[in-house]
Amino acid sequence: MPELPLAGMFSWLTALFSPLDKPGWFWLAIVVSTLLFLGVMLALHQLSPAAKKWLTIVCTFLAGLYFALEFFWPTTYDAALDKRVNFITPTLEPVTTFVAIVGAWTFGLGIISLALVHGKRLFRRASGWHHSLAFFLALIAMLAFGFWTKAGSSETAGPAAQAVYTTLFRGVMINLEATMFALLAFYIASAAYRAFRVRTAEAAVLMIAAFVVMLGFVNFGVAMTAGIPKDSWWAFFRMENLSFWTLGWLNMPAYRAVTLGVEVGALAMAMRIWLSLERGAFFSQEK
Amino acid sequence: MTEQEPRDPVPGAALENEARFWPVILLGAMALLIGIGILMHYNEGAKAQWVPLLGVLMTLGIFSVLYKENPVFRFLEHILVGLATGFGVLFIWFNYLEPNWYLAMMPNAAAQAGEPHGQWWLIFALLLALMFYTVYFPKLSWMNRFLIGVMMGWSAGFAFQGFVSVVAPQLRTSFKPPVTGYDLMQGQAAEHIHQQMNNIQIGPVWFHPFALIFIVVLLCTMAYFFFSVEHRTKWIRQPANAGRYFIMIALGAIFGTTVMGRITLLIGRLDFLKNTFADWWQALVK
Repeated sequence: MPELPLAGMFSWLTALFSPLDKPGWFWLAIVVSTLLFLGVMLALHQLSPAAKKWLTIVCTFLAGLYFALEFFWPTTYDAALDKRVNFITPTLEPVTTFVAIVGAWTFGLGIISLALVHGKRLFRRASGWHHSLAFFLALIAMLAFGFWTKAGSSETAGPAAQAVYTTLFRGVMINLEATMFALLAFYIASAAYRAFRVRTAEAAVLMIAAFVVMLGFVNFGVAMTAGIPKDSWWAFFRMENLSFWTLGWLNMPAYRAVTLGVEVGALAMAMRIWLSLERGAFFSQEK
Repeated sequence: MTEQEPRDPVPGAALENEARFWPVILLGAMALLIGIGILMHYNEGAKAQWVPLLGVLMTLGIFSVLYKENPVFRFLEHILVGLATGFGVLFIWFNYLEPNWYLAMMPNAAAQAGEPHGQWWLIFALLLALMFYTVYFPKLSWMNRFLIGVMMGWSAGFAFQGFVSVVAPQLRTSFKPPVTGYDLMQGQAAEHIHQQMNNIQIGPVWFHPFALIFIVVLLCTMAYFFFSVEHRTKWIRQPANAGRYFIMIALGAIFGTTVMGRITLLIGRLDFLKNTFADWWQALVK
């Protein structure tokens, strides 16, 4: 990971944000940073709800401004990097990594949510409590043996721990997951029944397109048109070619048009969020 | 119409006629299976058979729902949720947080050149992330909204870059010229019939009909979603109508590929069962 973004711009920041390898200084920095952070949060907690709301709006704008500035600021060619950059560009990677780390820590929210649902059922001995017990046992076993064996890659963990992890991962989880997804083949049959009821011209077009694509993937479809010589222009109507063409020249542009619409909509939505024009549960909470 | 009781009003609840000793049997069986797995690990021959045996049991247990809802399926469903959640945590930690956060932050005097270490300021990533968890404390939950706001602002700013990096290349490749003054194949033999049909020489120019079809389909589909003008006049109504059919073709094609994907998964499972049983049969016959 590159050095901290601002380090190149201000020398005092370079000195402050330099890696610490001595454990004493390192832990001192950690403790001071934590106390500083808690102090700032405690001070902000004293603000009125309206002030907190404005703080959120301003910080949301500044957060968006960073990427917007990086994007709109004039660039110059950097021969070393072989690309056009501006003064913010070198900071882009560490900042994105930092944001991604913050986002990655949210995994705990999912676990807490599941634990609350199953924990209530288990402690109240409600109907199906043994399912919740199974959930907790599976979760704890996977976490314990996963961390013990470093997800099966540890050289120091004993063979028994490796055996349990292999049993849980390869023996149980992989098979359960694959079979659960395979079940969808049966459920999609009922979806197909609904989709293929030809009541309108549009439904007929949908059905024909689906059939052409599916037949192009299976031997039966290919065999249906195997009589058409491969080297003639009629080969276009061989099922595998027709299927490929439908995907590449009809499905692709239509899908791309939808994607372009979505992207333009996302950009408009992003502008509204960035400028705090969007209102909803998020901002309306603060009076 | 007869009134039907919902079969399972509470997700994960026990089935109506489920015997009370089921939990003990199922949990005991699972513990036994894992216990035997550990013992078998010390025998190479047994180890090779153990994982497939467990796989067959799990596969049949899940497929049992095709007959009807049953306690074994329910039990295995919850086991899967537990294991997948645990594995998700392992995946995030070992693939992302450990290399990019933990190892980069912790001091390491013996670190190689270029290996990140001692970056103490990464503690702020954890401290900021902890603000997400204030959602469970009403008095502090403003911190959660604050952080979500900042993250959304970040994402919104990033949307500018995303728009250009995603949309611009797509637009460039979508509008390929239908008529060019050069041969797309440049004398090379066509490997596919489509290359041949998309490169027709007419006098001094080359005509590319598929490029034209691509542009027409793209524009008609976009016209269908273009609501800035009313679809009353011919010039917008007709392309929009055609666009509706093109969308149907695209949805049909997507449906077709989805069906084939699911069928492939099913075939994969059945193939696993067939091969495992065949191996066992051969071992028995020997």
